[in-house]
Amino acid sequence: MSILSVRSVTKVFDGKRAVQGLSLEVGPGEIFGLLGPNGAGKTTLLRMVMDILKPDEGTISIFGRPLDPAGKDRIGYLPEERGLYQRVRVGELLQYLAELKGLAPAAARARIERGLRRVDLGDAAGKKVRELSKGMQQKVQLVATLLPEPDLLILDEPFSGLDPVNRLLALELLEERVRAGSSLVLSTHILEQAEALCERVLLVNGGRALLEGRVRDLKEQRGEGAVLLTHADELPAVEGALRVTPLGVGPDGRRSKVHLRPGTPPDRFLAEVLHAGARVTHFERALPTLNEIFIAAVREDGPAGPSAAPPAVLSPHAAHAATPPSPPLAS
Amino acid sequence: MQRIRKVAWHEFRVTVRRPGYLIITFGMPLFALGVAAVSMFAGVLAARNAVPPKAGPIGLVDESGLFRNLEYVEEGAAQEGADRLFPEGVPRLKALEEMVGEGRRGIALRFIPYPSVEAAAEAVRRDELDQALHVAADYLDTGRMTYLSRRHGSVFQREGTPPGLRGWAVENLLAGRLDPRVVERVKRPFLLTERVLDAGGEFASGEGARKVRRLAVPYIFLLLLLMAIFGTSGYLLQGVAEEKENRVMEVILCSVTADQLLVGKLIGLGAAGLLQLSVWSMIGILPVSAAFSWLQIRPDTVLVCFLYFIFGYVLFGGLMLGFGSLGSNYRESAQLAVVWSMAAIIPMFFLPVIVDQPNSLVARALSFFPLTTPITMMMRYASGEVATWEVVLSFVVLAAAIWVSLKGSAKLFRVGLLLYGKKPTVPEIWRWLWA
Repeated sequence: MSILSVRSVTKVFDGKRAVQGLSLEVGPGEIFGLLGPNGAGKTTLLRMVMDILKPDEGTISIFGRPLDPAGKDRIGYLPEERGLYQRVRVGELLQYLAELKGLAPAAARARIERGLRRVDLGDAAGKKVRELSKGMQQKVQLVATLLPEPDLLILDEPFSGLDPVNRLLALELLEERVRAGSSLVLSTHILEQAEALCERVLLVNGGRALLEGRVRDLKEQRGEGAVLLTHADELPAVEGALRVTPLGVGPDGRRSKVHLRPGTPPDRFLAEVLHAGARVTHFERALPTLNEIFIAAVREDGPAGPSAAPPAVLSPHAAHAATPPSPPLAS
Repeated sequence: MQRIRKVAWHEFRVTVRRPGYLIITFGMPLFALGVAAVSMFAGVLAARNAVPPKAGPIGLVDESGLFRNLEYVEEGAAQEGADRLFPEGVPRLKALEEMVGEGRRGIALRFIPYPSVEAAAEAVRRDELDQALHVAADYLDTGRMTYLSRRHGSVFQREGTPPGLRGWAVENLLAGRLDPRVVERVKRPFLLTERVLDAGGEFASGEGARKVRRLAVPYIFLLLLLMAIFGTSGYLLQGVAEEKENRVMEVILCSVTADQLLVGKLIGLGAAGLLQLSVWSMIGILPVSAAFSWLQIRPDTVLVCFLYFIFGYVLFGGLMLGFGSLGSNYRESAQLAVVWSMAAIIPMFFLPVIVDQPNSLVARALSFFPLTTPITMMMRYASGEVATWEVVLSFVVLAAAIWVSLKGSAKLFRVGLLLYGKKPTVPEIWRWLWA
């Protein structure tokens, strides 16, 4: 049974289609990535999943049925637009949010104490929220999201505003939750994070789905037929190699990226090059990053419709990987 | 329901613990009572120690020869003023009576004859006299007199003309010609006591007292409703604006629906506002009720007015919350909600008609227009002349209006909660209402 099932969902704002016929399925214990640039429709889709917005078309079911109050209690939602009551004490605030999720007061208190200790804020319960730094407030928000020990976590840009140390802490907390059996829907425009965390992803742009599938499969399918080698001398010319791009010299030898001629399997190329006398110390397939796949998919999508524009820069690395700089999408 | 209760309790608890709330709730009435007590004490003190009004002398140039009486005393001239303030049947507040009437001590006028206007005017100039009166030779035909004075008049005192002058003139004109009692009646023809046929077939005390007694309760509730609409709505708008500014809304909406949040806020913040009104009422009403214990308060009037108050509060509170949620901050929210505050005071413009003619077309029309129903019906009900079916119908109208307004407000609330940094236009609001 799917934990979350979205089928052909569309949402229109003032005649503009923010989401167009999106579908996705998230299974038990799965980490699913909802990816795309700012303004792609990710937040709108998640708001529809949380029943904050109503879809104009399509259906959404969670835990096998339309979202009801009991279903909401089993979801931990961290919205992109998030904040906390500033004048309230941290402990009281978390108690309120936990009880709104249906937790009994005593159970909520125990979880709050444990949760705050886990994020190194054990002494913050009595402080007012406005007395905490922005990073501390982010951690309190994460604790609030995890308090009901939800079966489904929906996190919209969860790492924004976190420093590297706290980002690592947040990752640990999420992994703990997934190990405990929760499913996780991660919405982000930073594709490297998704690539590292997610098993399956849905790439959206302009409210439409571009690609969906297992990360490994997408990379395999979208692999451009290139291999990475570390070798001692000049590479001999072989039939399977189309173009060789030197990547520099490392402690183990020279590194090169070899683009294979269409139809040449990597193992046959390796056999050819070894047979030609090359001394190879490292060999691997050069798979594209999600970022590269996404940019290529947008270009293939063609000039029609709102998704015709190239995607916004998706990450600092993407800025280097993507060839010509792309104008940002309108949000 | 449990979630609504939790939202309501949270909103109430957070609001009533704010230092600003506590200061306004307890500080303001104590301050107001303090100011009132000091000013009343000062007034009474001033009244007790007041020097009787300067009674003369007045220079008199009488060219008509009609004014021979140079001493005049008039007792209780201010009695009529006090009568107007305290109609028959209404206990008098001694302190206020004292503050009203310098005439309680009577008026005494003393005249000094002068041979000519020039001589009298010169005496005024030299400060030998404060004032002088010139009676023209043709006074009997024209009534002309000229009053010369050192003092400037004010907007409250017509050119400093001494009180009692009229009585002195009448007495001089009629002296020896009529029975002194008749002269007295000419000066003050009657002291009227009004008796009005009541529902029990008895001629009860005057209409003034009847109105005061009848309208006291609805006036109190009217005042409370207006204070609730203008004051408590501030907490509603402040609460929703703060959540929008803090970006808390979406976090809350993942646990409750927009409708539950709306109702929870309405109850919680409304209760905080009503608690404040109650504290003010208790602090204000207890001392006042001791003074006005003569008010015969009918339990059914209190109950009906209370119900109109609650219905009115929910109607206006819901509308203000829905429209207020569309603003990005408190100022914008207040601007969007102000139209409903304005609507609430419409009946105030028609209050004389509603009070004097409770069954007139205007009063009836305002009774069944939901935004004016609560205040209009409070005043009409107290008249005792409103049919039961009208009362029932007005509650039905109010209930239906509350249902519609909460539905509409919930729609706006749902949109407004996620609307950041954009002030909606009227066509947009209209479209969202019908979406």
